[in-house]
Amino acid sequence: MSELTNRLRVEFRDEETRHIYADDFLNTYIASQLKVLREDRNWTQRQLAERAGMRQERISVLEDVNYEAWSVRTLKRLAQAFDLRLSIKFESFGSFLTEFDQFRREILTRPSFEDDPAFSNEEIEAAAGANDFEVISSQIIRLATPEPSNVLNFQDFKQAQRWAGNEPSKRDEQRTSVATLSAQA
Amino acid sequence: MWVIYDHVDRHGVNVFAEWTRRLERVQRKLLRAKLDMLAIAGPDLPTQLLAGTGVPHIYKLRVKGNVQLRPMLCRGPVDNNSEFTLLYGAIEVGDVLQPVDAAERAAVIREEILADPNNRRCEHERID
Repeated sequence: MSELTNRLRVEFRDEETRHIYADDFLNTYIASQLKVLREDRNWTQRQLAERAGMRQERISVLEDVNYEAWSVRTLKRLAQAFDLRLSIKFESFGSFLTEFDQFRREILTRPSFEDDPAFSNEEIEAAAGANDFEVISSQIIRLATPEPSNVLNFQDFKQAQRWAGNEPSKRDEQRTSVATLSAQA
Repeated sequence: MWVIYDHVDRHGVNVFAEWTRRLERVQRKLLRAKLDMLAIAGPDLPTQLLAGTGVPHIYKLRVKGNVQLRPMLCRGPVDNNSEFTLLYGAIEVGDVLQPVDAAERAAVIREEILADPNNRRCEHERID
């Protein structure tokens, strides 16, 4: 923590002070993030306005740190324009200090869905693989359980073959599907 | 972190601190919040926190409230990449500065500070 945030820790014991800072920081955060998100995508204010169904002058107003009349509806439109989700939460004042201390451009950037690493082909493949593993694990556990119902049927046999590597795995099949879908996109 | 300085007159008085003390309590807190933001984030990230005045090197800090505070400041003037100096206290009424020549006065003060930075400015004084 910086010397400044340590000082705020003391000054925030005053209720009026902490609420003034929180209000000001909220407005500054949203206005600055709007600009950062727009610039990251190399969009002009006019381009963002077109995507959000607004006028360029409105975007200019929204990017002003002194603007404070935010509506959830407007923020949702902007989130959709950036292909991001909007998150609104109540927070403690303790988290303010960290957020304030770390307030810089890198903190404000967010990838659109298309560039979101959580939805990359690698992640989708890994998720498909994890599902495959869960299916096989449950089969093995079921087979290892000494109950009369655990008779090895044809599906279990096929699964066991896959497990042994004698047949193309489900993961391989899903990889092919993902690659096909990507190529189609 | 950016370092913020206050202008000190030839008698050693922190003139900017004097101006701040004359503001209402809420106005002082609003001003302090903006100055802390400037110190932590610098001039580029908080959009439209600073605005030009038409006078070279002189900016106004935009503080919204029942009184529109517009303190005049400059980058540096010793190190333009890590410092700001608060030069002159002003307000804005209907898009007009009061006093109207606040930016010009600030420019004169900036020159005085440049000529004698050790004595004509001090680290910013936080006013409660």
